[in-house]
Amino acid sequence: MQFKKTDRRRILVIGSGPIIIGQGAEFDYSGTQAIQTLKALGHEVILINPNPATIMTDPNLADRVYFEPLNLESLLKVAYREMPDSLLPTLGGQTALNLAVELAESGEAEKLGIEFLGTSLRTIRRAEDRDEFQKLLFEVGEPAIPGKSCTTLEQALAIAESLQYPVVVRPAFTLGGTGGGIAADASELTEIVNGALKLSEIGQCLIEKSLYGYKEIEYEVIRDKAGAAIIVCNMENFDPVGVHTGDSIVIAPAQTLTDTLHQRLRQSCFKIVDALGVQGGCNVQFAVDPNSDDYFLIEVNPRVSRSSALASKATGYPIARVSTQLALGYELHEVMNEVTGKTVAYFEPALDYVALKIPRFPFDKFPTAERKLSTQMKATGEVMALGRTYLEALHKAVRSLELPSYAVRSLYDPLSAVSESELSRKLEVPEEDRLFYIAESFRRGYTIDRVAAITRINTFFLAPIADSVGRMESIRERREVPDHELRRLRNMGISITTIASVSGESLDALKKRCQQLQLSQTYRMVDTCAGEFKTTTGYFYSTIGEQNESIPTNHRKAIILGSGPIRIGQGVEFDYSTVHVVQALRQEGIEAIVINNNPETVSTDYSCSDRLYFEPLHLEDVMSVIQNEESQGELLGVFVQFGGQTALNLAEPLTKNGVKILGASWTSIEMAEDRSLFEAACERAGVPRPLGAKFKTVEEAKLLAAKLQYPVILRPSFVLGGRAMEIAWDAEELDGALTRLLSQAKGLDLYMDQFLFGQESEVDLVSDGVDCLIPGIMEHIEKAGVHSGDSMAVIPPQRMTKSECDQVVDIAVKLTHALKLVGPVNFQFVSQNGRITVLEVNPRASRTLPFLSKISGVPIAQVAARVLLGHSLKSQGFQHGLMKAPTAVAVKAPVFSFRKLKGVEISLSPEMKSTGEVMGVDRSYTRALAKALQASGTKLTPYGRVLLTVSDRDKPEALQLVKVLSRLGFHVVATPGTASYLRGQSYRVGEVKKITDDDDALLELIRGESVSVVVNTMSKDQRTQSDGAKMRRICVDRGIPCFTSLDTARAFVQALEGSGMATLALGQEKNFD
Amino acid sequence: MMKLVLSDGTEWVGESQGYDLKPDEDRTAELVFNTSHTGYVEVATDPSYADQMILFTAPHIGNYGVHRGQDESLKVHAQGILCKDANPVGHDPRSVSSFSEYLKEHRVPLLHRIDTRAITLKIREQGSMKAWLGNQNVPKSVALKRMLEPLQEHPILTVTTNANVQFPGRRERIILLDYGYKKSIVRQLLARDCEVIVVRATATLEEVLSYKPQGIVLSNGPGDPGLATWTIPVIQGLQSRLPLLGICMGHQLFALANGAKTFKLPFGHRGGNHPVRNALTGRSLMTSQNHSYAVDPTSLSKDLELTYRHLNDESVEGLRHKSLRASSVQFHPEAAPGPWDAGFIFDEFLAEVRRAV
Repeated sequence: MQFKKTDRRRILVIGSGPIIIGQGAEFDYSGTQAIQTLKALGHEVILINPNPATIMTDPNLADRVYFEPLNLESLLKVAYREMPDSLLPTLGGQTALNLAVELAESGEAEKLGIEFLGTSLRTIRRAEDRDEFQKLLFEVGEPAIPGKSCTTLEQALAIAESLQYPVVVRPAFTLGGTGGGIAADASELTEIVNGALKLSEIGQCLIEKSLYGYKEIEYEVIRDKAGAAIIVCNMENFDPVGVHTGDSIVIAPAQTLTDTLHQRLRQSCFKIVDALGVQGGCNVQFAVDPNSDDYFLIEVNPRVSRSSALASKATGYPIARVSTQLALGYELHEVMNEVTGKTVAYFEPALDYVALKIPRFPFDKFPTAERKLSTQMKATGEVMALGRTYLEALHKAVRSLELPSYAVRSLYDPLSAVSESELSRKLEVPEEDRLFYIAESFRRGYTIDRVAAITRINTFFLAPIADSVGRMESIRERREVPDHELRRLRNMGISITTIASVSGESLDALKKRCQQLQLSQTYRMVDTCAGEFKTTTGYFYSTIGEQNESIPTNHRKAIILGSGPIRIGQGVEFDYSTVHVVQALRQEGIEAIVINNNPETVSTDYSCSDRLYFEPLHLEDVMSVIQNEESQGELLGVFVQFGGQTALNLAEPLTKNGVKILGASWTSIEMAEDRSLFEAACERAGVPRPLGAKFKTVEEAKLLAAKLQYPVILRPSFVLGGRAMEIAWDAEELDGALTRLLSQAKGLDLYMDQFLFGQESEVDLVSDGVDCLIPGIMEHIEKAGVHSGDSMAVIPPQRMTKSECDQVVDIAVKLTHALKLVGPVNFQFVSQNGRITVLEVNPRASRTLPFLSKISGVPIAQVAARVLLGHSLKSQGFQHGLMKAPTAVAVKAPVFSFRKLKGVEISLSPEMKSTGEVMGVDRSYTRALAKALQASGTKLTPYGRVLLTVSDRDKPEALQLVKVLSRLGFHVVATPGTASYLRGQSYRVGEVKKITDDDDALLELIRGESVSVVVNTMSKDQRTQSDGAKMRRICVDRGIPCFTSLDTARAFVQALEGSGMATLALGQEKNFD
Repeated sequence: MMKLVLSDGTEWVGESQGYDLKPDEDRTAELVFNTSHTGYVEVATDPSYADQMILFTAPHIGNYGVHRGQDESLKVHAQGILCKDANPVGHDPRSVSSFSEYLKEHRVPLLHRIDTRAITLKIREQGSMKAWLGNQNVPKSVALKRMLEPLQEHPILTVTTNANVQFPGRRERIILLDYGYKKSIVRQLLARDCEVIVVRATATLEEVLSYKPQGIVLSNGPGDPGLATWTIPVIQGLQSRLPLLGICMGHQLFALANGAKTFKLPFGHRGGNHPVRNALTGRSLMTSQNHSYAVDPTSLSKDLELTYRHLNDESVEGLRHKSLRASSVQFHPEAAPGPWDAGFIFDEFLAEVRRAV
């Protein structure tokens, strides 16, 4: 059927699934925009996406949402059920694109009569297949990076020989450059290529000339079906070619290109998108020789991407929204520029500010990870800052990063302890904190040219840093800041707090001087046109001492603090809650004002809220916004309970600054977060909690452990995501744990508690001070000891007894009242012998809130926001207590990004490691389990060899697992200790030797993919640990499921059992058991 | 420290870079803003900016210094440059001079570290206005008085070439009537193998025809087209004899020569992101523009056909004579700086020339 662009279509949209490194929240932002646009144009939208922590999967957006695994089978099930006429594949990242390609190649798309909207699959193939792409470049006369693709190691070695080392390896069809790298010699090449071939969906990778030191420049292009094309924005990487653009500091617009070169690259983009026939957005990456105008095309992504999200936020031009309209057949001149409301989308934004992005890395969580930045992306998130100058944007971005207290956090923290040789290594090898070492090198008198020669970073970006470092050093020496110098430093974007701490002047005095000198923050508007047209967009950023364009309204309003960059432990879930609060406020007719700095998310889409301040979530910046907003109209207060720990941490200083917090008071928050206050509160409420105490030294620890009895859990106070938590089962393990902890948690208080190894569960509730709404209890699948963010969970509980559930509700309600908490509260419990003990209380919207909202049908964050605005639960139609359980069963499974992070221990522990999550929903528990596992990327192969190697502690429990595995027809292979134990229990098992220096048969077994599942539980013995780590790493690289908790392994087996058929010879039915 | 005074009486104090005005030295000109991200050298040397001061809305200016071949004429025509942050160094190995050094050689002051966006918004709301640039200590009243002094002569006459210049080429001979031409127009014609003769703006019809040209290009240039009345009979004589292409000022004069009227836009179009649409084919182009005046669409005689319209404000961006081989565009097909989308305008013109030959 031929559609006109105005015909109503039934459109299937494929989401991007769980958040992993290389595919983050940006696809929720673009997917949400796309669905909103399709709906606004009157189309019917069917979405498949198993990620519950997304706005795009909210019930009020698409017509129907399927939380199904993103594989061909599920897609076909949805497609045949819904019979859509169209499919939009270019908005769900690489995952959606690959799935769409699979659908087309299976021939099913044709059978279903589905039309692919937007850029054609043929185009996508041509852009993504390296050989095809090179051919295309040759046809249009654009320069490709010299290189060739290969499918075997031998070919790779030959190509590298002809190009000369170093060479870059890029696998075809992977996310975020997974498996790629730079090889300096044949042995490095061998290692990289072996992995890369495996990871490429089509077993192909490209070997190409290394362009290290070239400028990396990106263009965001949009082209319509008639061939009109524009550049939304170009961007320049601070780091030269060699560092993945997702891992690089990026500046928009590009700063060091002459007009001629910019126009050449612009023309090049147009030639390419024309030849490809792109219909929608496209990202084009160039490598440019800094000494000539020679350039090469690095790659082309004919879809929305992380870069397009960044470009949208940097310019105000909504690429996903426009791309969606173009996919439907509209032309650029027919689409309005919604920012100006006067001009059309056929327009190239002009910027009168600089946008700067800095990635956020997970190395604080993974101290052993390889930190060298290369062509494989490692960042989990990013911040963006806007400033009237590059340096102002840089300073604001650094503040937005919220680096942990033990990391370098400011360009002006001297790194005196760093040796000269370490400094030069830090400059030479790009790691995530190179920026700070650049500042240090200037402090030590390095010249700009010297630093440029080592880092290959353009002096345009270095000179302002050298200048500001010099000025700050001079005020440090003089212990004072003259007015003219203060003006200069403030105009560079340096915070008053930083200037005060370096100069030694009191913060209050300095603040006063800044006010007198008119050096406070004022706000500028993002308008896409550098002021040329009058606009009314509520999208603002701060600068110093300019006219203020953010004139507050006379309305009632409230400020919502977002959650900043996505990092492990604080993911997109918190943006979900932020957006929900905004929605609730707008429904109430209250102006919703968001402060956030994450360019990937929905909350920083200026059309989401009434006013968006793209600002650091730093006290000084937040206070400035508050002061501006409260100067007119009625500011009801600030929401701090929905933006994760980032927002919650501001509760105390904001309260002390006299700001009204909407929700739990700081006293209540402190009571929940401060251990001794919390303990006292528990005692008053008569609520049991694990015994424990504070300690500082090894001696104290040993005495304490003896008193508490093993196992014990150790942790520093105030941590995020379980960082540095350790469990010790005996005195020997305690010694090891103490050594690690005392070295990492310098100066922090340490705690030791009883470790209750039992069934964990958690609850998210909303309290209005009188009633508590509990939408459900989430039962963890893994026992205590696995961080709640990394454990699987199920609603409704499958194993907990009625009494246990009752205790959970009772304790949650009691404690909520005892702590006087209102709004959203999260509780974590553990159960031993039927007795529930509370582990922790988080007085804020939690990670599980979206999951629970989706399955219970209660928009928890919205309900909580209304409560905080004074609407009781009763008035909202909710009853006190636990809601009736849903009829469906929902299982949440974590998703990890271990493939991207070399050197990281993958086994589950109290420290959170996952980057995202998925949900599986079905009528039965086992099927929901199966879906959740599949959606998380775990292969459910119903046959094969299972490799079992478990610690002595776990052997009895492993028996149960082996029983089921054998029944399902798996062949169990085990290491000698485990094997002899199992044989002793009369199981037939194969045996494989433990890894020794000259025997790695076990590793070969995995490498050769002769096993389909590995179950490996940890022992603390160093040797076993490092061998285990090797084994687990190979599993990750080969995509073999590897379970480090017997509970997860059991869930896996149950999923297989529930969805598969057992294979048994006739007459063996007794073995069914 | 240097001071900017606007005709509405507002004052802006900032820092100078490069050329320091002497205590009694100042500059008075119309203040306009340009939204290009790149190409500050090309802009500053464009003769159309004679008698104007340029405010760059892009915050960083001078980033890559000055490269050979970026100048669009022999001098910096702007009376002054304003921006948020000027770079004292050109961060590019091929830079021959920093931008502020270059301005210093041309004795053009640069004022930075001022609130350029506030000034831009003011111009947007109140229209382009007169501005004075000078020493911080000079009283405002003096500055405002200086703004009242009228221009001596049409700025075209101050920028047009003194002597006609010939650029050899092996194909058609094109006359470029110089109202303040940009070198890139010549480059574009030379790149298409034309021979180009740049002829003074005051040349008579006979003088132009004496070169036996095969095509005429009317260049860009500064000032009010309505006051350049001496050009009209020359253009009328040329368009009836030869293929003709008008660019910017050339477009406006071509319209006047065919009975249309021009008017002053509130603050003009200056930048590299001006979308226009071909009224006949529907094709969209992103163009480079620099003009204060525009052709009144209601004044078009029946001889003229509208070929391009601005997508933002519907203003006239291109015209064609219905019976003659003459056409014009308000935008700059030679770009420099700005997008190259409209380069085909030269091809179309030369196709006309070559058909005529």
